[in-house]
Amino acid sequence: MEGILTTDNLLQLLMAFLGSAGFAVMFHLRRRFLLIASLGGLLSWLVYLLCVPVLSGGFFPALAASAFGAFYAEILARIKKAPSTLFFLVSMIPLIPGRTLYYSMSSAVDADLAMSSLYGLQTFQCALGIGAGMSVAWAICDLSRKVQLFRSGGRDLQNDRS
Amino acid sequence: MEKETHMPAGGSCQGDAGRFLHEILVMGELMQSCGAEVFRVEDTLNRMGRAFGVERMNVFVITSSIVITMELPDGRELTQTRRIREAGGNDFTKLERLNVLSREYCASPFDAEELGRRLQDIRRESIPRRKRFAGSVLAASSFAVFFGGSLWDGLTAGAFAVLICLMQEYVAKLCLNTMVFNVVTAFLSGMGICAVSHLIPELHMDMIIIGDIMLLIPGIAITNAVRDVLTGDTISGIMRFIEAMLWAGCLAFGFVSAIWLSGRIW
Repeated sequence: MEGILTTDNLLQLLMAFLGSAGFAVMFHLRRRFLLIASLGGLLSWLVYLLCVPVLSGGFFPALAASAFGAFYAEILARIKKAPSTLFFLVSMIPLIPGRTLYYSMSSAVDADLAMSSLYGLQTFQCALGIGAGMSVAWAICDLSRKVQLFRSGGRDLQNDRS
Repeated sequence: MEKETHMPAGGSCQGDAGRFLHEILVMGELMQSCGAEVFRVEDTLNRMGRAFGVERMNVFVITSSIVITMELPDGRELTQTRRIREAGGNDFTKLERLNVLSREYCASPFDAEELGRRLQDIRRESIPRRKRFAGSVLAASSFAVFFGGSLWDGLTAGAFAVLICLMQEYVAKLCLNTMVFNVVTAFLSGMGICAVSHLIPELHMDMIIIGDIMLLIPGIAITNAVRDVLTGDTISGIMRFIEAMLWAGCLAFGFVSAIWLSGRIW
């Protein structure tokens, strides 16, 4: 745990927070959601950092972080009575693989195709991890919603898909 | 959106079904234009239709079109479609207001004209310019530092974010489509960043470009595409995915040619 909290990582966490806040402002998120949504960006990056030493490759940390972000968004959406999209997209921002995409491009310029495809593959892995993570989270959230409905007297389950 | 309440008594909905259908098409279009996923749009329109009192709602949404057929209690069927041309941006305040509107409608339906008025009201609102600029600058600077740049790299990335915003405002209209716009923007800002980091060797060109790439990269479009596919809206997902890949490719092409060209000049 202590190994995670280096100055570098703290700076990254702070910047993940500010960067997510920047996107939230750009997308015109209401001020009363701003802090809590940007905090989601910080927390998903924290989850990513915690997972990197434990889980190998680029895929699984991205999966874990994005699953976390999706849960965070679902929970906030229920508390704040707003669409989960708002919180989810903002929490996801720091995970977007901008760096590997850039290195993939710049290696292509240097005619280093091996590096270029390596970075390209990492970019793709990360995108796939984000997608898989949020699907896992949603499947679980959907299930919990159905269980709740079932308990509350089982209205028609098919029509309830929100 | 978890509560759906009582329908009005059967048959009470014939009044202005055509007008109502028109208004919920507007609603769907607005939702898509401010960043809602396909399943959310379908779900919201279905709920509103049921609240209005139709026998059965058939809503089909893909990113470029909305088709709705309402089966009314008296046996009539109404169908309208809407072609959606522009790719949606993100406007979370609008999305939230639309969500509130649909909740209120489902709780106690009001007439179609009132619905139309409130939709127009929401449509008119746009993101204030200073918020777009401030957000872009903050995001680009933070991500330049986030990925390993220095404070000065961050500030430079912020300055170029202003340029990108200005281009989004003025150059986007002149471009054929988003792909052309991405190539132009990436190329021009790439040239600018290369020139500045050539003049000031302390700056890290790659970190500045990465910070500004975050503003242009269709990361959210790709995320949404994967999500669409995984939630069962395969067609929308694939359309969006291919679109986003083309945008990313254009972005890469623009930056790559700028880096290549500036390498030859200097």
